[in-house]
Amino acid sequence: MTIISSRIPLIYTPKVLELFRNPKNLGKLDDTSVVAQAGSPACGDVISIYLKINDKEIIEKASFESYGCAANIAAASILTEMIKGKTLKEAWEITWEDVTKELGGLPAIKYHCSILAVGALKRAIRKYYAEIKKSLPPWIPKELSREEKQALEVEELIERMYKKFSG
Amino acid sequence: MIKIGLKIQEIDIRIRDKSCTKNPVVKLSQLLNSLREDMVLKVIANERDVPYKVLELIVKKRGLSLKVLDRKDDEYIVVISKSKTL
Amino acid sequence: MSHIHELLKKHGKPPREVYFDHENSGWVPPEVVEEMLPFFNLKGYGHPAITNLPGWEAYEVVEMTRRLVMKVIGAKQEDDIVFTHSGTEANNLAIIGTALANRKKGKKIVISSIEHPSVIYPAQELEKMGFHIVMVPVDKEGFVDPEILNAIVDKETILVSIQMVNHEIGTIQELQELVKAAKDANPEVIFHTDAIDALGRIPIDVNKLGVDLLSLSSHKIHGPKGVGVLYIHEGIKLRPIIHGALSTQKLWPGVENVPALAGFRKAIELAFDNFEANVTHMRRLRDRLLYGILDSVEDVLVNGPVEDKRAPDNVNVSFLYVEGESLTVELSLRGIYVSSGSACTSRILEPSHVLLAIGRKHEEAHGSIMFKISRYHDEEDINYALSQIPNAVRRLRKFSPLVPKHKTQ
Repeated sequence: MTIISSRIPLIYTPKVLELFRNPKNLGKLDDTSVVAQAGSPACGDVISIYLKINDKEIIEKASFESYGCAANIAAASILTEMIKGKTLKEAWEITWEDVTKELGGLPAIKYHCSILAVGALKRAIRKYYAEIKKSLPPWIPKELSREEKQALEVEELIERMYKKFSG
Repeated sequence: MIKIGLKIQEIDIRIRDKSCTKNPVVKLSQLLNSLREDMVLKVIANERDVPYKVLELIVKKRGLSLKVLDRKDDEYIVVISKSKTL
Repeated sequence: MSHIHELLKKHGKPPREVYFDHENSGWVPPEVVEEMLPFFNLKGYGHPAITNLPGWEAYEVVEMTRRLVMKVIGAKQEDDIVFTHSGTEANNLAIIGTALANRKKGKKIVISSIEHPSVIYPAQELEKMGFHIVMVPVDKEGFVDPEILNAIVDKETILVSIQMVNHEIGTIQELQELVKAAKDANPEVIFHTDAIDALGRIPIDVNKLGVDLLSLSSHKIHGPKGVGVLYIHEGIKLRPIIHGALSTQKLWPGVENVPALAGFRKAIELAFDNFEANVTHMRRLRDRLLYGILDSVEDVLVNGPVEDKRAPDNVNVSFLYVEGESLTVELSLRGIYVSSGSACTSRILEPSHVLLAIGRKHEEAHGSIMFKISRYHDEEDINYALSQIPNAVRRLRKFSPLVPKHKTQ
């Protein structure tokens, strides 16, 4: 028996609050090329990233949906801003630390929000190549990136906890 | 004997997990909440954490059936189901 | 360094504010503040255990508060009241102090699965010291079954701790029955109850209840932060858990918070001045808020019991498809101050253990919001809240990938 819920101070930056109030690129995309999701409702965090990619492999449009705390919404939103107009290769280079920096920083306990956002993006890019292009470019490693791994770990943890309980 | 075709879910609640909602007595409660018609729950428990008479009482109050498979001083194994015949 | 100044500037002060987060801390009325002020630098600013005038004046404050607390809970002269500096400390003293003093009699301690963390954490500490903690489960509304309690308590059990009123979902236990059930299984067992959320909401009579230990807290009754109470029935032995020079009491050294004790006394007087009327008022507003929410928002679950089995000041609901912390920020921007049982507000991924213990799934627990009504709220406050809540939830549901397709416009 150990940890149960307790309270910790969450001092967000003004940027996070601003994005929460006026999120950019919110909602589904009409002409989506690919969409991917990371996280699970059971752990309180889900981010969906929608991408519209043109034939030059540039992200023309990007949008998001989010279930989670203010940091989750802000991270997903800022990420969609960061990738608009970039090539898929450039977008792949973005790390969760970059996202956190764009937000002006996050409390350490909320880093997982940036990680999840980038995880969803990378999943979307991977999915695009696997399903639409049918082949992985050399700059996408076969092995999962840090962010994809983290997202998977969190989802699996919840799966396991759930399996223990229900039939 | 246990009817063929029933799914048996075995759970060993002797093991203490990290969170307090997985405390043996609470864990048992949650499992019983999700017991389905076509399921049989096989429980291995410590007398210390979940005294047999407590389990018996909880099962009775929920209108479930209980059958003992093995019973020692400090441990026991039982089968719980929704159906009247086990 | 945090960005707290910039955050506050960005948030701004909403034009209309209603504070509902009395669970976590509260608003202190001017009369209570006024009662406290002289004791900082006009009189009674001394140490209550020192033989000089300001010391004796301080002692008078401690004694008068002690007498009033004893009166409102029905304690007898021979019983003891210990002042700590918070309810958490009172609970720690009750759990650890009792266990350590009685370990020769047994090692088993029974607590409910929905206790406040200030009861659960000390119990966990005791497990590390060789005690055996057994949690008694609760039903879908948070009630402990006396029969099950009776089956769990035995001759090995030295302490049972079950709260009178649950701090999150407002469940009012049938405490008298539970005490009977426990003492029937073991007449020597010590029964502690955390009554921190009961004071000022339901009558407390320690003799009628039959409890041996009872905890209270000042800031839950519109008193200042800085005072907790542990009532100890005559003859019950505890070991001190903090150590230092003894002041006016054996079990909690450390100078008493005299100004806060003066404030606490005033707060109790105010709460008990019109007890029945206050409770009726809270209950009416509580139901207006609850049913108003259920009427105007879809996909809402009520956490805990309703009507009379529930604390008159407690509203706790889960809004499906949205996450609690983001909803508290959204409501805060609209001037409505609440808190949530979601995981994003805790150190790990698990949401409120109380909600999980009553059978809520994780995603249901994540969307929970708690409101506590105070006797200082009025109809206008509830109207304002009801004018903002549906829009707040709607806005966040627009963001959410979890809303089922047939529900999106």
